[in-house]
Amino acid sequence: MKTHARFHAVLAVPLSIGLGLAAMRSPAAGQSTPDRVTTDTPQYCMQLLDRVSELVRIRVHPPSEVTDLSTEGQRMCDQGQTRGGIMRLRRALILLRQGAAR
Amino acid sequence: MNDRQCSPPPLEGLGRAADQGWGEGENTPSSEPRHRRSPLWLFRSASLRFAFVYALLLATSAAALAIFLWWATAGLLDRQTDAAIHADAQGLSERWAEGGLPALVLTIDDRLAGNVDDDAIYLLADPIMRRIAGNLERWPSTVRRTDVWYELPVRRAGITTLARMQRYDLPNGFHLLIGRDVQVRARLRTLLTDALLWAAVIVGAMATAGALLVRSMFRRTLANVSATAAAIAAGDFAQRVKLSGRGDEFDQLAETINDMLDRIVRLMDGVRQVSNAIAHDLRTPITRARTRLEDAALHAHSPEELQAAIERATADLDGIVAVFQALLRIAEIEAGSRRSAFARFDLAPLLADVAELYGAVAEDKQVGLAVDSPDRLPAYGDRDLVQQAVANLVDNAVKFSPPGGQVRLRAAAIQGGVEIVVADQGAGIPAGDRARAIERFFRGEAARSTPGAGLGLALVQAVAQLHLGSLRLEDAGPGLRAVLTLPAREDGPGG
Amino acid sequence: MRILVVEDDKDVAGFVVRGLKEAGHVVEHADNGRDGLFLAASESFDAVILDRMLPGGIDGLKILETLRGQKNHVPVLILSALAEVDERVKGLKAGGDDYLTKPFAFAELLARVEALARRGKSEGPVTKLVVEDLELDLLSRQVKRASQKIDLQPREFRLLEYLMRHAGQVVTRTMLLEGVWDYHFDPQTNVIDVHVSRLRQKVDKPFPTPLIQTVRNAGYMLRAEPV
Repeated sequence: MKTHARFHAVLAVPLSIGLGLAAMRSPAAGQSTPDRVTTDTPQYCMQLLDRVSELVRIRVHPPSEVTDLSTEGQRMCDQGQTRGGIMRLRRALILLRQGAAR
Repeated sequence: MNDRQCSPPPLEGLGRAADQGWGEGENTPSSEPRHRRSPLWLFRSASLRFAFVYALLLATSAAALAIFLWWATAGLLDRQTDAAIHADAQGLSERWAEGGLPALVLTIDDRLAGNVDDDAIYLLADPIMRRIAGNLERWPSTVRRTDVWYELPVRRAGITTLARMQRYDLPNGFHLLIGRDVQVRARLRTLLTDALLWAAVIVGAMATAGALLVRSMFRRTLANVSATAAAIAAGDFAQRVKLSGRGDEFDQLAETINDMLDRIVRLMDGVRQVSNAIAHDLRTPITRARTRLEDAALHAHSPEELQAAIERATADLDGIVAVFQALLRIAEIEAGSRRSAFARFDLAPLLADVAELYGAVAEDKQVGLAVDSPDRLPAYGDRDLVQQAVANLVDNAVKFSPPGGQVRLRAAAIQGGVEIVVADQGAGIPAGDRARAIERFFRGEAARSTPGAGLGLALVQAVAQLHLGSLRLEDAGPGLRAVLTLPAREDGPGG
Repeated sequence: MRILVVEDDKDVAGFVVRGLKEAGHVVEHADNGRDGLFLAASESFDAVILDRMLPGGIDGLKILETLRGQKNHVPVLILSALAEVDERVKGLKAGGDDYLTKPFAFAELLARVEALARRGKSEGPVTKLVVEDLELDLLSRQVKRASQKIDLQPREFRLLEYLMRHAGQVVTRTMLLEGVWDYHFDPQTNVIDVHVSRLRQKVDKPFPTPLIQTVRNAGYMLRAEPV
């Protein structure tokens, strides 16, 4: 009996540390329904495409990467892979902006 | 002397401790049930305290490591995110200051368009919380205060992720919400927490095992010591604490205890010797005195005869008293209490004094007494005791020298100490008797006819031992050579 | 001389008091600590013989410490059965002037007490000791008897000096061992006698009157009249 009691007592310390860590696991999330982000829709994809086209029209020689990215992005958005398309279009925009800054 | 007073209390205390925490009820039939009820019994056992301290240290170190790990990874991510959000807020407020609301809206759109990582959240709302710009559907109801970090779930492309955001209020009453997706960090946090929980369990197991190991090591060593002490207290004086051979602190403790036990045995032997010798050798002069008095009472006729008998008896009693004094002196020296009075002194004048004191006697006996010592000979110890020891040796040498013989008193510094040699050319002590010559009351055959109780050499030996030195008796061919060695250093025998 | 004896053992006290009175001294006796302290503090004595173990709650050492605390510097001889060196040191440290262990020879006690009492009355540093026609010059370390120079070894000089400083008093062998050779133990051999006899050869033999007298069962005395 004594052995068990001692065992429990000794384990108490690391267990309490573990529980403390577990408490840090998930913060209070008392929200009923999460808010929706609006920049992941096909409409947004169209908006980005418009922007890209606008900037390409201004530039004389757009780099081939931009063309590739925007074509690819548009294709993916049409096929429903919205996030991937948006990402490519954004990258194209950044490249165009960098080119304009130079 | 009451025997009961002789049982040393510390050993009894050890025995009692063996009943309590150390025995753990395994080998002691008399463990009190009282201590099982007290919740503090855990802390009364020293070995358990040590084990607990070890476990606590291990757990604390592990916790410290975990916390550092957390801070360096998930914490770092948090700090980076917060910094980025702050920088964003800074930039946006500058834009608003430059170009007002339209510029702000444009900037927000631009930033969203350039957010390749797709992790940013912006929301610009008017004073009544209507959405003006940004990529959040509506203002989250729970975000009410500025300067507070909120972590709220958001839906991105059909997936619920976590975002960390903060509200900033513009001077015109508009509200800005800037945030970042921290799902990665959340996942990392979960991973880390899981890993650390497992680690905590492992640490707990290791701590327990380690604690038990420490405790058993502790108990084993102490059990060894306490068992030996208990055996000695019970009367088995041959027991000694076992050494592990590693030379560590426990071994040093064991050696010290063994030295102490050796000394106790030696002292007890000394006491036994003395009581035997007293019983045997003091009876003789006491009997003689008594006989003379009885004889005088029966047979003396004149007052002069009575007076003479009384005076002789007084002289006998004085002789007995002198023997007692010498015995007490030896006992006092052996008890070691004089060691606290040790000091540095010069041996050279001491030897000269002793030689001068006995020089007259030697001359009368036509025995030569030569002193050979350096002008200065520093020594360390009790000056009076050393003086008496040397005097005893010289007295013996002169006493047992034949007329025309030579007594040499020589002293020199040797490796780690001082050596005093007294050599005579008398009858000497046969090899077989030399070991016993330093016992109390021992008188060899050759000495039976000379006055003395046989305590001289015993005293010299006691003085030598008190100084952690030695007394050697050698054959001077012919005669006896007594070599008294005293260590010169304060930290015990060097040589 | 006025001597106070503080001793609780009836036999020893009676023996000592009687002996001291026979030697011509005025003796007071107390058999417990309280009376002893009272007497010692309130009356003036030339010497006090103080036993250490006394009944009445006040032991000898405490009496001694109290007296010395009151700036009472009466010479005290401590009489005790406690013979260890540490006890001697304790007694002398407490303010005792001499320490004699029991059992003792009365002659020894008498000699030491008289020496103590006379020491208390000394007139200050002297440069010359004179007894009859014997002169000892402490500055030039020269000895003359009847104006004849006597050659002495340093130790013989010291021996003679001690005898002369205690001229007319009994000087026991133990006192000589302690005072001249700084030797605190009983040598069990008659070393002192041999040294004194040598001194006699130089100081007494060539002259008509011997000055160094042997006191039977006690020691020696330096004076003209034989004991």
